Amino acid sequence: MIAYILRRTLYAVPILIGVNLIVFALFFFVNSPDDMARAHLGTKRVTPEQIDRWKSEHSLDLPYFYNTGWQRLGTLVGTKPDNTRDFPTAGSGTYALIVETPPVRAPQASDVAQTVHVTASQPERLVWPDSIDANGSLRLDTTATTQRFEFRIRPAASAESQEAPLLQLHFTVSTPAPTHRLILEYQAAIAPVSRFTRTVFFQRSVHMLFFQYGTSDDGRDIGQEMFRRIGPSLSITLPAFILGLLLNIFFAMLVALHRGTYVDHWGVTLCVILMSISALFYIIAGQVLFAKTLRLVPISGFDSGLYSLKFIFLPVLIAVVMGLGGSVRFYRTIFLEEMNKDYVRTARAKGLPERTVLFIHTLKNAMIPILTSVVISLPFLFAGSLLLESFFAIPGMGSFMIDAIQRQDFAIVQAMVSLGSFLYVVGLLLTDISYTLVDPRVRLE
Amino acid sequence: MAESLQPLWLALGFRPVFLWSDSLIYLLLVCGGVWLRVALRREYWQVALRQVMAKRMAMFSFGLLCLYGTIGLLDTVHYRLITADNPHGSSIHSVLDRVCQPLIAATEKTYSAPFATQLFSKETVQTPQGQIRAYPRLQHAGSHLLDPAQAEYARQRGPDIRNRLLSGLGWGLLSGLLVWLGVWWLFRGVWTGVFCLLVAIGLAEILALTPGYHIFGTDKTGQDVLYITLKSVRTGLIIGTLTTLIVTPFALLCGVLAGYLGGWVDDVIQYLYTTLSSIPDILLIAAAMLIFQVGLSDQETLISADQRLVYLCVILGITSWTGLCRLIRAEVLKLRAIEYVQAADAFGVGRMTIMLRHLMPNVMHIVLISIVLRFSGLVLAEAVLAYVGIGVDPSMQSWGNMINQARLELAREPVVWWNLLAALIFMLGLVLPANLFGDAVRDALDPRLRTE
Repeated sequence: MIAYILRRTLYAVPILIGVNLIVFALFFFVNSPDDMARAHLGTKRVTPEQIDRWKSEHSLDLPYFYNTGWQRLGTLVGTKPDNTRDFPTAGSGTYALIVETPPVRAPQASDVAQTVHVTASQPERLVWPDSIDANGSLRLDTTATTQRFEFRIRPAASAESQEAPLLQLHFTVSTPAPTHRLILEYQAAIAPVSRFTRTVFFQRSVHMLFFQYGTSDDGRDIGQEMFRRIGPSLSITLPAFILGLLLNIFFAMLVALHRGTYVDHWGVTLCVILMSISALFYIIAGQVLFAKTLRLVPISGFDSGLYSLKFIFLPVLIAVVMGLGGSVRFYRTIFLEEMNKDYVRTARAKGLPERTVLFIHTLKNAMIPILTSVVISLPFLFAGSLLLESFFAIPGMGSFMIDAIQRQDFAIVQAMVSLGSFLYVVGLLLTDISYTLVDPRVRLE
Repeated sequence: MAESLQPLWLALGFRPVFLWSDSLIYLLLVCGGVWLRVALRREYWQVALRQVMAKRMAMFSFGLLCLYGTIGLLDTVHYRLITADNPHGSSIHSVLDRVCQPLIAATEKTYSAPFATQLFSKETVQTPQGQIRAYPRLQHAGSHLLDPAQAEYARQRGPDIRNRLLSGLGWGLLSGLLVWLGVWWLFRGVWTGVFCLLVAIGLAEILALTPGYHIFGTDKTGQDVLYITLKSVRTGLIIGTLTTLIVTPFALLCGVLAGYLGGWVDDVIQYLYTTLSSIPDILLIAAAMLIFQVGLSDQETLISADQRLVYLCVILGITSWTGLCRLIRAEVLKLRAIEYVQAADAFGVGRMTIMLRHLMPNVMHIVLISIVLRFSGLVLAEAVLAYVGIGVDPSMQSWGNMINQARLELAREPVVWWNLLAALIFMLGLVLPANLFGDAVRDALDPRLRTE
């Protein structure tokens, strides 16, 4: 048994990794960190500097999967036709000059060519690529938006000039704009492990596998926030789950007992009607009827301890009614299937009353598919109910999610997706285990 | 090509416009038609069809679904009006807009209740006695009633509505009987007549009442709620049908490949769908829709809203193909062991041919069942998604958006309820028949397939 559970748990690992990869792809490939920054800062009048700052605040300025160690030393923004700045370098090593010149308008004949001129305090230590001429001047391709030139700084020949050289960059642009800029990068030595850990994938996705969710946009710890919200969520989902299960089984048995009669026919029709009504209707109708018209319970809100009872009454009631139609119909088919089996015929042939057959024989066996089908939803009790919590202003996981969606807080959404898929995998695992527990015919191998 | 046709459009006065979703619907209709022709040559499908047709409830539902389908199709044919001084064309309209022109024209200032003759909120009105706060008369409803004093027309309204209802009933009975006679050669039977009469009376009542009143009231911007609900039909239908159909070929392919080939192909496909289905649907949709919002283009509202609708369908489809794929795989596993497939194998028929000729046609019933059964769930899901803020574009008419807007007004006193009620009635009118019809289809094709 333990070996079986272990094996099923190991099965779950590649699935969780796969989910993480999908979520990562969804969040970072379809939609680059630049897009996210723009979504937050607004699309108009946002400078690359603001985007860079936002990215570094959310540690999204790292490479995705593999950190080669390139670090930004500084930027020079092309706000004037001539822009000059001094850059202190980090000594010998490999450097890169990145020129970003997004096309603002079509180039015209009168335009000054865009060039970069580099001078250094120790010019003899610079090693240029071919694209830079002997004076350190560089003519830029007007069609490319991003160009990259790598060069090296040699170690000093003598000991007295060991200090790092100073680079002076001179950036000439035809159409001055804050989107034109020059970036100087330096390739730092980086430990082999950090090449993989100092990446967006590791910081964002791998950490989530270990339940480290990081911080949300408003700077709060997501993990702690979730932990605080599990209680209120459970106070709705748990009673609704238990009450719902009992009621569903009760009604399903009632209908199954009267199979083939008008009770059955109209019961099933009622179930279909209940299923066809939007969940929003149940919630709104419940709120209007019980809270607004009859004033039995408050419309929304939440409190701690016993005071919360009056707040959770209505959501629980609505949750039970919402699930009634579909579940009763489903359980009815299970009961009917069970009733057509040989052992039931034998029991009837013995002369047992129909009630005994249903409650003693059929119920026990029908519970196997019913229980195993509800086990998968057990972990989701922690995830709360999106709609109910939002309508009733319950500070649970569901409203956390909705708030995050409405505020476009990508970190929280990603964390919730990760947690949700973890709960699902746990549910699958529980289903497998519960099968083996309640049904001895299911073999472990 | 587009340029050379300009004289033609100018002569016609309009230019057809094909939005993404329109083209997909046409494609869907063509595929559906071809499939129906092919399938109905086989006895298996004929038997199933006869079984569904024998059920009164299912046929009733089917009739209602056809009604919705007609509204949706009318709303799918889009065009721009072209005139000599505006060769580029007006904004995009649909045929339904043309049909509902009186409803569009009858726009009030803001909310008004069903059958009301006054606005819902008080306004400062200039009268001979000076400025007073009063409920102003509606411009397009009840204006045919005499207006000497407030009390007078309130008394007139009751008899007027009754007269209109009676004339609607008369016209409805008459036209219903005519239609019944018209379709007599196709569907005999009393219940066809009952259905025809009910639909005809319903339509006739609406036609009799709408010129004089807003039968479902008006919404915040004063638009007739009936018009908005009618426009929402298309959104609901598209979400319900396109979603499953976009991904069905993919699910079919994966399911058959996994079930028939087995081995590593099976492992990979199983891994793929287990992983995808591990992500809770609503969370995946939320993540995907957030990302779409970021990359939004600035095109004409209708076009970008339509792109968003198609995108939503694709996302919903991605979350729903896994279940279908699993069912098909299980069925193919069963079929693979049956003699006829083994016989084909023994004759040396290629794997490709076995999959295409022997396996795919025999799992089609599962595809059909899942399309029909998923439909209602998707229509309901649209409303929830709109509430969460990840549904169709807020500028697009949909039941979800209607409910979402109405929800904000529930705190008002007295309650603005008609918006909500119209959306819920029309939704129920689509989802309930869809559920009943779906059950009939499932019972006819594969009664052992469990719902859930």
